[in-house]
Amino acid sequence: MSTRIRGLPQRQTDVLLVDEADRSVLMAPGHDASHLLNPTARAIWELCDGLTDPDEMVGAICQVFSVTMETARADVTYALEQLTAAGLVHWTDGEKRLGNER
Amino acid sequence: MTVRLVLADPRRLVREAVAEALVLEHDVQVVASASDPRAAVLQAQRTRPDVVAVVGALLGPLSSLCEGIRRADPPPRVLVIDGEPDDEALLHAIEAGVDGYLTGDSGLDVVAEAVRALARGESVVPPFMLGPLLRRLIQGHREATQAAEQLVALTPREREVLALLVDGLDDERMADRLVISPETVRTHVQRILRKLDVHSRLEAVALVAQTGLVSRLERMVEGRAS
Repeated sequence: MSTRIRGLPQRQTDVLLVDEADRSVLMAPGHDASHLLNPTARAIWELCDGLTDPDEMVGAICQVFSVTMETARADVTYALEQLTAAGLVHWTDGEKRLGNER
Repeated sequence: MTVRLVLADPRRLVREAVAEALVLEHDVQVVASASDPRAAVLQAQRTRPDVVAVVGALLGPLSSLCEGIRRADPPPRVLVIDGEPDDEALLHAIEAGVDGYLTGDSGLDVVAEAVRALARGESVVPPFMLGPLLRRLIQGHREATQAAEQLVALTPREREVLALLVDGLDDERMADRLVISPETVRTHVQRILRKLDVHSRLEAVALVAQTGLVSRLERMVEGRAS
């Protein structure tokens, strides 16, 4: 999959991360919908600081979970696409094409 | 499938209580227990477990413990159960090759599920610690990349001097080894410090060691020598 995205992902500042007993939820003020996160998506959300390249996320996930680069890239791409589509993440300056690198 | 578990904890009460409680989990069986790292390695090799769970109190040189456990055939997965949540300890564990990490306040159900996940080939990290862990790994990778670029900026002679610094040689011995004067060695060292953007020889050595570049530096120097 190749998704056109721009630059580095950054969290929307008004979105709250709430950890409940067995799950994590993102809640945006003014929106009815909340967004459930699995542990990897939660970590990716935390790394969306406007400074961290998705490729760096992929490399670190490979190291922790001993998965292939392709698997990690697919997970990171999917999570970022979902977060972006939900309006929870925006992209800073610069252009990047996930899924077509390396 | 029943997951075979070796449980390593210095406290006999804990070992027995956990083993007893896990009887209720019909798919997890404690096949042996160990009270110290050496016993953990021996039991891993003797009982062919799927997972070896080691509590933090047993941890010393974690990488050698993992290495010893992994020498078993087939190599079991390694779970560390540490005390308080500690990002530094988690990073150390992951770098040592641990497959799973739980904090000491984890319930028995969490431990059992982690053991199952490890047996399935998955890795286990507490969700609230995963983000900080990935951030530290990314930061470490950035530092290593930067340090590697700095190494490339050194001249071949400066790399030789740096390699001897890493080996702990003083100016006189470096001078003997390289057949140059101690004054020239000191000049090289000053240039190295400036290029690596560090303030002391100790910092230069630490930079090379902490960014995992010792072997790369050695290869660079050997490449020049050959």
